[in-house]
Amino acid sequence: MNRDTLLSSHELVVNMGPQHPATHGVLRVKLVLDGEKILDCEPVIGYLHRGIEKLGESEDYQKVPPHIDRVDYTAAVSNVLGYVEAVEKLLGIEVPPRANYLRTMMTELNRLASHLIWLGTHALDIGAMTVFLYAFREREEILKVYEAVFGARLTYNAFRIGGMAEDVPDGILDKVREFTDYFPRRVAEYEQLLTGNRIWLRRTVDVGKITAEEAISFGLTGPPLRGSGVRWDMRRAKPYAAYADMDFEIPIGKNGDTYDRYLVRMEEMRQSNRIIRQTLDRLPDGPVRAKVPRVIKPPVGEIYHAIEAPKGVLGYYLVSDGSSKPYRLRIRPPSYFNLAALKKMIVGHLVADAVAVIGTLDIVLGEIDR
Amino acid sequence: MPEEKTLSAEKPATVPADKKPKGPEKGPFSKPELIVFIQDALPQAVVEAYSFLGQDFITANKAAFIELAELLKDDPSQDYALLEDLTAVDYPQKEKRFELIYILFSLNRQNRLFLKLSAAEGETVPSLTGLWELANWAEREVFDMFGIRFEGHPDLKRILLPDGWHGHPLRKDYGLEQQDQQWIAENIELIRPQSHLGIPSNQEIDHLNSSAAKSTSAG
Repeated sequence: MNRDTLLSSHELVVNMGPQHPATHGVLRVKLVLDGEKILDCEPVIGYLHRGIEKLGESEDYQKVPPHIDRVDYTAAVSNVLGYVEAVEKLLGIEVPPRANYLRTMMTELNRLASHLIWLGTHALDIGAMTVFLYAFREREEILKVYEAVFGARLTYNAFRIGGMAEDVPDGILDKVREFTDYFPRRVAEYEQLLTGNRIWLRRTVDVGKITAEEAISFGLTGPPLRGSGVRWDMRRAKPYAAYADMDFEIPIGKNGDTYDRYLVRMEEMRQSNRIIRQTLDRLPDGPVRAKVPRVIKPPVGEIYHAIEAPKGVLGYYLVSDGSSKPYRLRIRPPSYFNLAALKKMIVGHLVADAVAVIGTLDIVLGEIDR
Repeated sequence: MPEEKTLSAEKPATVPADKKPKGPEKGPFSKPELIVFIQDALPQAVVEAYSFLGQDFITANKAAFIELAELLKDDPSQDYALLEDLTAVDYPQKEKRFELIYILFSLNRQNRLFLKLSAAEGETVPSLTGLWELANWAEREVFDMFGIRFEGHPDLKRILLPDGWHGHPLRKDYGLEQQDQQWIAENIELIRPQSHLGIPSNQEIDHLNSSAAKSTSAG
């Protein structure tokens, strides 16, 4: 080999993943590099494909939620909420108000839990280890509540068609209230570690920028869309559960960069805390489950129902042929479409920024691959 | 190749017509002015328009589909800026077996519009990648799962399943446990030559399976 070939610069193709701690699952990203600079990238997905949409067609309506739990396993409560509400819409079932309030409370706790995982792992990827420990301390408290209410810590099979499986156990609402008392102070703690931190700013400001038009074209939803300045939240646009009664704000960013998405999610945690307080204050009495037939056979037809999951808009398109199994169960996964914008966001940046952008998109591969 | 298990290909118990649960019926389209608006601009575009459970559906004509989507997206009076989702349903008994569903969302008016398009086996469908970036991955997934080809897609290839896979799993004639055995044989090596840590090797498992099959057939 002569001196010229040794010193010339080459395009280099690097496979990041599928086994890589910063890809948050089995994501493989083919990166075309010139030195440290990313010239092109292509996400390769499907390593976790379990065919959940196909499985849904083979199960009774009541037996689908355990599969749905495993779609976005960091926000299993949100997933099931979207599904059961879609089936309820198709059946024309009115859910009792107490069940709706409890669902809202549990879903918002889930948003906190999901955002805490995002915060911890995103910061850990960039190199701030302390935040991870802080975030998982609070997440543990939420999981304790879930363990008491649903009997599980990760995949809860949280709701039933028609309401909740049963009312919450005694004393758990006081625990939730206690949590909401101190949680805003904990958010302030995380912010103290990161928001003005010079290293954090250097790693996130102007990294992975996307404009509002591009974000809409890519179908970005959730914090990545709001970080670009589009005030769109399914909880406000098409209210479901008890969100129509809730008073909360939708934070948006300005620049559409990693730092703005960080700020949006931090504010969302405060707003979620507010919503949980409101559900606690106004929780109505009454039954937690509507009367539902033992065998669920929705009328022939189709329904689309979307909710604002922690990652973005999670939609279910259900087609019923009048039998006890869905004819077609389509899950619109927010992470899938958020990841599609990765190329747009990282080309031209450095390799280290790829880790920051994957973190800021808050993807879950279980949801992307289904 | 041995016969595959096809769990979902078993015919579901058909419900007699009189025992079918009574449900909501299709109603008239809730925004007739929209249909008038479309017909003024594109006379051939709308095949059928109806409303179901508060959702507005327009069955579109394939020849004018891109123009229709563009009109709904770019005309300021419509402003369906967001393509929320794109998916398909397989009805093998119909003449045109696939039904594609496009969900549009207007960010200003906060309402949805559902576009439907039918496609027969082997028929191509115009791609919307020129209008929405979202269509890129969404159409790749529909191609992967149903085998519907999109005309004008820049890079139509499988996305969730491996590139060389045969078959499209979300078709109704694809069994729940069906796999592409040839692909598996060519690409996956799960050979453990000898027992290790008490785990039987592949040959031992095959042997156990065949002897178990013999004993059941004898009994």
